[in-house]
Amino acid sequence: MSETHDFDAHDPQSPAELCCGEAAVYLLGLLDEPHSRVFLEHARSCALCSDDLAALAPAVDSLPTTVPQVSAPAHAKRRVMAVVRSEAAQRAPRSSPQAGVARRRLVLRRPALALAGAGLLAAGVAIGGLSAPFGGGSTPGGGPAARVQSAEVTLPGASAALHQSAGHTWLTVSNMPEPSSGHVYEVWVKRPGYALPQPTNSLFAPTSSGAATVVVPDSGGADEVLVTQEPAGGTQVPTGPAVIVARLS
Amino acid sequence: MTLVQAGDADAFEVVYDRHCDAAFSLAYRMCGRRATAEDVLQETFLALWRTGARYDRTRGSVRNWILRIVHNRAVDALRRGGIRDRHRLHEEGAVERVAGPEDTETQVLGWERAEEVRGALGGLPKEQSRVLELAYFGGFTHTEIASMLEMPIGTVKGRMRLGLAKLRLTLVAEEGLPR
Repeated sequence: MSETHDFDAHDPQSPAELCCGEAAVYLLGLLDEPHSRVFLEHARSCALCSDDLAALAPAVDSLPTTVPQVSAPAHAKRRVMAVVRSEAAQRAPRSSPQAGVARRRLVLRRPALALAGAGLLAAGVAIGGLSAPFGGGSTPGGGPAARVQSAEVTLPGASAALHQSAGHTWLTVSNMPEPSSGHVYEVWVKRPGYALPQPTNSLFAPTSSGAATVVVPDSGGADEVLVTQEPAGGTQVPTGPAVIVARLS
Repeated sequence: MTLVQAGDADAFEVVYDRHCDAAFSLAYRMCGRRATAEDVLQETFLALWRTGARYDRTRGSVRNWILRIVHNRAVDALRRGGIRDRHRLHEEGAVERVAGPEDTETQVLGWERAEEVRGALGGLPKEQSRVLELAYFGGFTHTEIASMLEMPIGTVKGRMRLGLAKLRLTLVAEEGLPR
């Protein structure tokens, strides 16, 4: 929210009536972060505003109850829980019996917002999970210009590009269909001399608009990055054909 | 919530199941599009999972906290869409929302309370319910509302405050909320 407003809590001449409505504006979510902080600071020493805050908050909290209730779609839960379980496994100690495939991290589709919660924000590119894969909070977007190559995609209408910068590799996809129920997309790397690609810990599902940004870990020595659709949790060997193939330079 | 804050995925799933419909309903009511509402729902619950430690039980219920996050995210989504889209959504979207096939999925939760609040909102003077509607569900700022309705910002703020105060009084009378 970038709205500015005409409230100046530091104006020594502000009469009490100038406060009128400020609590309502704040409670309705119309103030941006800086103005919210200024208002809350002001409300600590303003009886009118602090009384308004206490009195009006229940009214604002009641507004969502007026909305017709609609069931959340089941696939939304599958997406959210896939991420949550993946990250929970990631947090678990390495000696946990869930280690291995279950520990795989699912990389997020709404990256900037996902990272905002973890205090990391990258311009247009972000990586899910609680650890910072690029170390020190740096991100692909913040480093030198990335080398970008288009990838072969077998899914109609979908596209993908492989990005490489400062030793890091990530994949961006557009117009990807959702994986089938109970499935995720899994990222693999293929190295010369190996018959089969090797699994990475990157699993993902795209946003409703079909977008995703996915880190490709452990890509050193690899000459190809592949994506397949696999059962939730991922597998150790591909069970289906690659839907994305990108060649590493 | 204590278990969620400790990173317990099973506990998180319980919280999700308990509040996802209310969260989705609010997001859908505000955004008017299922896909956008789904994104808002997902962003909200992943934010909750990752920042659950910020929940402070002394400042209200888990549901209200979640719905505040939904509201903020939905407002952000609306603003990304631009004011013209929002205006169109607000003016036209209600028809789609009421008549859409999703009505078949409707689950009535807290029906009596919802009716009371709806009644209280409907009982407000139109100029007050209008600014509340535009602000809370439409995601319009007080400045935008003042411009749309061609009235001073102070008047808009005053009507918001009066509307909420009357709503509160009605709820106090009907539900025995503390004064």
